[in-house]
Amino acid sequence: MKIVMLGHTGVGKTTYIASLYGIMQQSIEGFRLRAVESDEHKRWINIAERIQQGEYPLGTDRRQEYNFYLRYQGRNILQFSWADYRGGALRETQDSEQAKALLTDLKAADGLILFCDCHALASGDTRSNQIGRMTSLASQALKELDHPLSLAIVLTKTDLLTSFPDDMLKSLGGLIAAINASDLVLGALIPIACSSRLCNVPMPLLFVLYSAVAFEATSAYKEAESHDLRAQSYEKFSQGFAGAVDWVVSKISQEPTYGEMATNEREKAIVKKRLFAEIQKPGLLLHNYVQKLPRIQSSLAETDYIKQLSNIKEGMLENAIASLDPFSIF
Amino acid sequence: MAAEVKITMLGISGSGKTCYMLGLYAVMQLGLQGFTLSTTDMDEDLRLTSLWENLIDNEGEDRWPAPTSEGNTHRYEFDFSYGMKPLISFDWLDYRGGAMQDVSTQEDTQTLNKRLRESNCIFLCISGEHLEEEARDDTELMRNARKAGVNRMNPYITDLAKNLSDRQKPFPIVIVITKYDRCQKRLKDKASREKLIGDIKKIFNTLFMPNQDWLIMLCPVSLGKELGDKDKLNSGKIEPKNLHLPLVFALYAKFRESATTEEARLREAKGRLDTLKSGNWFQRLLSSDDMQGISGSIQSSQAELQDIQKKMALLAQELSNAQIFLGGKEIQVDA
Repeated sequence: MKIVMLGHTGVGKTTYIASLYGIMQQSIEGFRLRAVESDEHKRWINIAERIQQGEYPLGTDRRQEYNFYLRYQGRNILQFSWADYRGGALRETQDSEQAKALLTDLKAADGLILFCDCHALASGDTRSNQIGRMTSLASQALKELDHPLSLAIVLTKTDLLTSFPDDMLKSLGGLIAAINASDLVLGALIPIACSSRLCNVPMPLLFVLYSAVAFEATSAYKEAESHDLRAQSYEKFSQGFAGAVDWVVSKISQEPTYGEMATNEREKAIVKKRLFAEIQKPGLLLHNYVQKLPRIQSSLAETDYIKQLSNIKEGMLENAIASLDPFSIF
Repeated sequence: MAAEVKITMLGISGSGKTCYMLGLYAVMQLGLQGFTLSTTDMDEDLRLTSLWENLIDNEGEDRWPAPTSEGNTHRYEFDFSYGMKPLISFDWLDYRGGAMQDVSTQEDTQTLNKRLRESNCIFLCISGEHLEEEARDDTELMRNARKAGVNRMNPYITDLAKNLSDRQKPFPIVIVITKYDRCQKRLKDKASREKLIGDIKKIFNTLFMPNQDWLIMLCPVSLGKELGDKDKLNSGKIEPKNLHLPLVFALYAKFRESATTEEARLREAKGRLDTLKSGNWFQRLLSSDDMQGISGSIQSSQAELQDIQKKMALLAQELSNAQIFLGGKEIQVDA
């Protein structure tokens, strides 16, 4: 599973990952986040702690890929990589290695997070947000899509605005229309703040992971069904006189009997059912969670989105990073 | 049903063992991240609850529970649950701290040694008041360690080390720094906190040797920030911190040991099955009943192992930022 994050320089991408990581050391709707490498875990915790003290990280100077686990009740339920680009990569031609990697990543992405500086959007500055370029890149990637994908449009720095102007989303109209036109893309607009006050920070991640978890659960269920069907069919062949003949012939030729093949298929079905059972509950929780977010729907107009965004701007989820180091409790 | 885990706390009189246990029970009784604790005997629940209420509602020296006196060694039995479903039961010995300081009678020492050998985890309690000031040199640090009763703990640890079986290795020990509120002066920044951790590692240096004997957790605990101010000791607000972590670690370590045992059983069964499967078709025909039996036991072992791993995972998520060391090296716990 791959998440790709796009946004101009200074929009707050690295700050976002670190804040999110800090917050999700506590359970958010039962979910937690964990870096695959323990050194990375410590690094993100460090950055998150520094952000809380007003010390923001420097921007990314080249493509970085981070690997995380989404955990539910202490179990890793999904491993995903998160590609972070320096803002400048958006404006580079395909001669640049960064731009080539970006296009490849976009095509392989299972989740996209596009960052827009809300303050700039509200003042009508579409240029600094590179919305046109982000829309082109996203549309290009979505053209060849063959699996479900979630696309979160994250409006950062909402704490700098007192209210959202009605025409704030005008420049995002094209992208919203592209999302509505696709059967495989689930889109949402999410306002966040990553300053000393953290608002809605886990929402974009949980939203983009939703499609992947749902897809995995559906696949596991279908595979379990197909193994069960095969097991039933082998079992039929293993019965009666034909079954007895098959048993003798198979034993002599050291081939698996129909009975053994049926057992084998049943075991595979059990594995898939177990996987399904493990991700069914988190999948349902994510599903319910996603219903609360302002999703992009063809029936909604720009003014409807503005209303929804205003409703959750102040933090449908306001989180604080709890002290992570047991030695730093006071 | 007998408790599955035995926990013993070692610490001199005044190190805060009884208060720690009271606070732990009060915090976990209400539930933390889905985990709850209850005494198997509901009268004990009442007793512990009223002692705790006395501590939070009253001011003055009387708020503190009386030290555990001679002949009053108390064994508590608890059920530890997740989402109201019991995960494991454990018993806890509240030992008279003075017994460690007195000139021990043969019987005293033997009783404690016996209990320690039966224990699945030991909490070594040192009071933060002995770590309050940064020691000027190692001599002063060791003098403070002596005051904290570390020299009295060492013979018990040595005896335990001598009697550790392979099955018990690495043996889990939590170094609980009680009254951590007293160390506030030393917690200015990360570097000062690391210096404090370094001091504790020096004090208990034998537990941080590069061998696989000990799985160590360092855990500061406090009943409240205000208690660090000597003038507010008898009136300060009670706001417990980290009290659940040592217990979570002890139970995690027990599950870890059970998982290792189950894995070994599984490997052995799989080996036997492979041997039977490698025979010719006639031998396989003759041993088909045995093979079926082993397959059944493999399946039940796998189910058991999965169940243990699920419980370990639940506990491990609480320990993701804890200071845990194996063979002297810091490690991350995971399911």
